[in-house]
Amino acid sequence: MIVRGKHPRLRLALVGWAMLAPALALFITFVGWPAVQALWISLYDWTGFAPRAHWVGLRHYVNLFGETTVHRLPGLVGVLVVCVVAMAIGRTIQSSRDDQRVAIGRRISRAAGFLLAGSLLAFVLVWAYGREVASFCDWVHLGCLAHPLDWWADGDDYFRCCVRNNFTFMVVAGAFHFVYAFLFAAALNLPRFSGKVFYRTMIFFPSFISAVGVAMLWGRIYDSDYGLANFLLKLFGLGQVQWLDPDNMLNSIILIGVWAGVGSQMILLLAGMQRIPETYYEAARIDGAGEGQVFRHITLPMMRDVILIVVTLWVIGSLKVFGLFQALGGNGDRSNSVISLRQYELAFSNRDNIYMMGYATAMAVVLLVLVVVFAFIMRTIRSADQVEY
Amino acid sequence: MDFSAQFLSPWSVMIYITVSAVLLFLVHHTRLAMLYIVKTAWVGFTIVAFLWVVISSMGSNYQYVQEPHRTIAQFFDPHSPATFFAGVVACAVVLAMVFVGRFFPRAQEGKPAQRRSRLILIIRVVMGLVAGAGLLVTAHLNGYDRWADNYITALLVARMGEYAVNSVLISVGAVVTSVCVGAMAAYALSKLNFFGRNTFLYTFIAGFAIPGQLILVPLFLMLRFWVIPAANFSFMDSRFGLALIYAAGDLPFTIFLLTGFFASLPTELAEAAAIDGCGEFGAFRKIFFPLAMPGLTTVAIFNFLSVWNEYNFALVFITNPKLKTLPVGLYTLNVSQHYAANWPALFAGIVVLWAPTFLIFLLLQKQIVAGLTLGSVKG
Repeated sequence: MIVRGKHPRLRLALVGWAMLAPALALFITFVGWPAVQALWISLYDWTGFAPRAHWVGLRHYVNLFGETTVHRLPGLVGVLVVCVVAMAIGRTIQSSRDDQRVAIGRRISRAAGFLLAGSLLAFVLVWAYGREVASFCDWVHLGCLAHPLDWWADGDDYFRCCVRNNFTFMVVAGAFHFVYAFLFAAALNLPRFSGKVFYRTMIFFPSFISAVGVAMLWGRIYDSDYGLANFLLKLFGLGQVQWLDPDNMLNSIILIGVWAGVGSQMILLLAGMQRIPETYYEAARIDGAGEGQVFRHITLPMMRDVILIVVTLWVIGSLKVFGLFQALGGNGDRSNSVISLRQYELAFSNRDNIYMMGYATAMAVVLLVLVVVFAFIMRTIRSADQVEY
Repeated sequence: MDFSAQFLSPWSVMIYITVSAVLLFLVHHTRLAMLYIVKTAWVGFTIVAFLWVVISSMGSNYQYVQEPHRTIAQFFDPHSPATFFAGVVACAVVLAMVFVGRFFPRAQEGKPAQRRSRLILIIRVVMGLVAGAGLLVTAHLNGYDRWADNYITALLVARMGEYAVNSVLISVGAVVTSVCVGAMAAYALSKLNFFGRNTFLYTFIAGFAIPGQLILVPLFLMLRFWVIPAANFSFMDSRFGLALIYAAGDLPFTIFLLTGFFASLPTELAEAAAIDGCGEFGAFRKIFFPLAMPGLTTVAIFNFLSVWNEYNFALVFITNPKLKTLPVGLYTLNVSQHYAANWPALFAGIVVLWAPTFLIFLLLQKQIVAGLTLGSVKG
């Protein structure tokens, strides 16, 4: 880039800043500064309308997780600090010129990263599912195993259920998502098949409809008297299902999530599949590999990056899910609520005329931490071993 | 229910013949027949659901209140000659659409293959339109003739028309703002090598991690005090404020995608422009902005869809019923129709919400697929 004038570097910087300024101003005003402010607001008790906010420090977080969990925190923090220090040491060794030392440093930092990601995941899972695990232990007469897991005793049980629902949605819907998306992508990638564009359009389109539109449609499909789902079941001579009962609601919503979300994953996986050179398959077939072996040794490793991106996008997106649960459920039942819905209800819903801005913001901060933790976990997995080809 | 009336009606028999012919064709021509059956069932359900929405939005509310068991069965009424005629036509059209490729031999040496595929595409589109029109006419003849009432109820009584105008204004405003501002920033971040460039790039990238729910409460508390009393204007409860928030929220994606796009354009162009006497901003406006049009289109489509479908912020920041967006309006309509039990009007509202998305999707599918791939697979 040629820049004229007496002070080209200064001029370049001025032009760059000037072009960047509108975007930066917009972003910082409406996203960056509020995000920083959220951390601050979560330390206050505030209805949002009362003139004064009360400083409560970390009380909201203690209420969310419970005293018992907070007492266990020093252990987790200790593990985190050790891991971070080990990662830093590994990075430092990595920067040396000696090849052997670089390898050792990489191994150290990777091991520390895995330990960090694993302990964070274990902490979150034990907190969210602890009660279920404990009751299972009691059921098999191993109550002694349950005792170390009783972290939930005095936390916000509603919030714990929301986190658990989020995880259930993430794992169960994610599994179906991925399997179907992969199957459809494989089918669309076959060379001789007519109507490819039609199938792609029909599978892809539902992921472009607004979550509310999807929820409205499925709310009617699931209706027990006039709905399409029960009509089709009756047509095939099967029994009727009360889809929208609180017991079935989460599963019903998972089914909707799969229907609505497979399309975009399918497109990404299809793009990844089409990038694999045909010669690899030919070489494998000449060497006598079967379909399963080709899939295991060529398709999967070649698509590793795409698969990890797809899973990362799903994990983060499923933590933030809101519209489906609000528009379809939204009935204040803890068995089908998620973090963002609970946060919205506490902060803005006037059902009980309590606007708990501070407490709701603390929940949102926990959501942010979960997103960051899961992004970190996925990054650790992605960096685990790169395929050479 | 009478078995023969339900499963052996002429309509059903036609469906059996069509489905088994298509399945036989698939099984015969592929090794992975199971895969095709799963896929066909999936797509079949999607089509049935969409048709159900469109046809139900033409029906009368009376059907739902008085004769719920006849709502769907009426459309498949085996005693109606109109249904039988439409069934024959629809099945013939579906069969022809599947097999149309067989009637045209594959491209020979020297023959343009493009002409063949375009001809087949045109035939398929025309047949699809014929089948769709046939279904709608059949529905009309079978008693689903109240569509005018329902769409008027949805658009005027339930104010979906107003909400659609709000949605269009907000989406267009947000998309234009974010694309113009974002393109400028992306150009600076990718082509101008100035101090602090990477810091800013990472600032925007970090925006990906921030969930919308986090900034909801602080924005709410902040915007309440942003009032201009002289102009009787407030950022809360205004389309302008909401559009600005959306534009800011879309900036990380816009800048991430466009930075990569600008980086792929040759820098020599800017140097040539500078030699010809063009300033830095002139080079952006006259050379790079037009060259980046494909990338800008992709970003604009994605931003439009995300803003058009956005729900959480619209729910919180708009309380004035005149200013609601379509998703929020549809939710309100659902809540009110739940008590009025007016399903057809709700279905009409769903069609109003979907129609623009579907049009955009059909017309711009190629760019959308390319953009998805560009944004996540390469990056």
